[in-house]
Amino acid sequence: MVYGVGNPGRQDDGLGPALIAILEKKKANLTLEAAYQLQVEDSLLFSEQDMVIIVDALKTGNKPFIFKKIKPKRDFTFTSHSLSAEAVAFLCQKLYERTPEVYILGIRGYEFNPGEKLSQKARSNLREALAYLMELLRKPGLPKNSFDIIERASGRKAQTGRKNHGKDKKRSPGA
Amino acid sequence: MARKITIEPVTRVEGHGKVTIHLDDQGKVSQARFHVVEFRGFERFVQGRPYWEIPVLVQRLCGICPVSHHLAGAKAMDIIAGVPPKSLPPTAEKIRRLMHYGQILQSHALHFFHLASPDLLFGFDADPAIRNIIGVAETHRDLAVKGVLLRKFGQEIIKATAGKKIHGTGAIPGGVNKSLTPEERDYFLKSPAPFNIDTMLDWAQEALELFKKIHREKKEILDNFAHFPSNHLSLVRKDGALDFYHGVLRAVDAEGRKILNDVDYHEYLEYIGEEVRPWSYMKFPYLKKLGKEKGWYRVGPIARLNTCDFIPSPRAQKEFEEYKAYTNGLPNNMTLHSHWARLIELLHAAEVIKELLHDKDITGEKLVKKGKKKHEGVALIEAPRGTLFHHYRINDDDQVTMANLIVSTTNNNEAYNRAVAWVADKFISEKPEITEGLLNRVEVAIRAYDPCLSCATHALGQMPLEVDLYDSKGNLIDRKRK
Repeated sequence: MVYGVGNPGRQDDGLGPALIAILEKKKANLTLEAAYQLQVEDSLLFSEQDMVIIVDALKTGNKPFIFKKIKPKRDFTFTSHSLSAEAVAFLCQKLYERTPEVYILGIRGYEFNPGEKLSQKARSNLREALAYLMELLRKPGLPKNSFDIIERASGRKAQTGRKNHGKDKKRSPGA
Repeated sequence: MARKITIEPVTRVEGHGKVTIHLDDQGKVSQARFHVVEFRGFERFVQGRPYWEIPVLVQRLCGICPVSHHLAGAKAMDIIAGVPPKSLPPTAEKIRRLMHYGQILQSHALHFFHLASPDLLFGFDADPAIRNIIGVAETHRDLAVKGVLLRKFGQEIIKATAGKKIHGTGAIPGGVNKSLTPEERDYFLKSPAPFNIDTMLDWAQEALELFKKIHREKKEILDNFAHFPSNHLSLVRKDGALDFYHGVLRAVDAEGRKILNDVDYHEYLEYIGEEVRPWSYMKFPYLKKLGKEKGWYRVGPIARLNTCDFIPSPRAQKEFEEYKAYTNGLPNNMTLHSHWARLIELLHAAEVIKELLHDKDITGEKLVKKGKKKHEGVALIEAPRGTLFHHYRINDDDQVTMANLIVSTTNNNEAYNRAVAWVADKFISEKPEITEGLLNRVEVAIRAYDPCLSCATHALGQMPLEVDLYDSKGNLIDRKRK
């Protein structure tokens, strides 16, 4: 499942749903979901999956996007309007005794004021993140194998330099 | 040394707020304020947009109750499309009601099971690592699972009626764009337990019984905590029944005397004023008849059960009678009884959903009506958190030229401040130390009103709760995070 999180009425906060909208148009053979925020009932949704990729906007960082695996965590600082992916995974484990693999694809955004359009830089980051995700999804065999490869790759020291970004397909996005 | 305590953001409310408590040199509370970083500019954001886009566009106000804005926007656009409430096709009104009561069900379930229950079950002084939904999941797994499924059931109702989980397009000016198929209807009526409406009804009743049990055990704190008199305002059906979707505007004072006697909400500007205070982005609405000082009011579950005469569904009515008997029929001004009121509404919502699912109109085919276009529309709806006003004007090119929204949280603005001041005065000023339990009491009072601060932005990396302590000169002398 690929799950886009964010509010499209808040400019770059809508990066997650924007990526889902693109995948829907591509008729990707995936379970696709989009919501303003992760919520308690998503623990049930997680429990029905082997693997979940959360796509969300990043407010900080100097990379166009990050991709990392997360673990269930007792995250008690959350508010009801935005459970962390770690907290949802933890609830999934506690309530349904299931532990799907959960990854975060965080895409750097820059503008979060009321408005419907993604900023230019965010759109560029979205394209790069999408290309990265599509590359994973096109790999033969179970997506799980592909993600295992990426997980190892993202453990390497992050490469920087936006000029080269996207040209080297083997480059790690960092984590 | 005078001190200022800042709590930011308030945890487990929708969005972010900040509480400042000002202490004098003797450590007494001199002032308490609930600041809101409100979603500003939305009324300008919609200007210039064609009116038929409004029901979809306004959902972007909020990720927690988009359905309320969707339906309020649609109701206002009905007027502009020349379709007054009475002439809406029965299928359209019932599908909208189903959507709305599904929204009430999921929102109230979220609030009780996942926001309020940690405080009620574990106590305000419990370890914060336990006093949250994860603590409930670990110690009351069955309760947490039921909360999840109740919420999911409401969400699925919304999806079936609005077309999508978010940014639904179900309600359109003059009607709806879909009704339910018999298969969709039967999914909610006849799915194997637990995912059917009968199970949801039973669970809603169980939640009420749980609250009443906790109330018997903790009567003193639940009755006295942030107990203060106020006026109350809500929509009621013309015959005085509780109604979340449509009716007339009624306000009562703390003793139950009517201040607004079932007036037409289209004329709300005659009755409601909005005061601006320099320290808050959020306005302070008041009843013009009583003036700025005395005209503030509460909205939401506790207000609705204070204004209505009865609840038009049998199980909720029975609970309502017990609830009203507790205050000898007088308005209930006990802040933490809002949880009780909310659960009675949860039960009522489940009953109404069941009734609507058995109504043949929800599978009807006449979905929309057209009329003669008007240039102004006002709508009112009871959102989960309280009364919600939408008011628009359009020009001859069908573009919105003016929008005025008074959201539930704004309507409760003064109530939050009163609740914070009450708690601060009782629990903080006499204590030399700022403890987690004391700070949480401030949050408990605010959470009882379930405010939604219209801040659906939540990108990764937000700040945790932060508590700052300043001296009289504005110097930061302490900071706590959680």
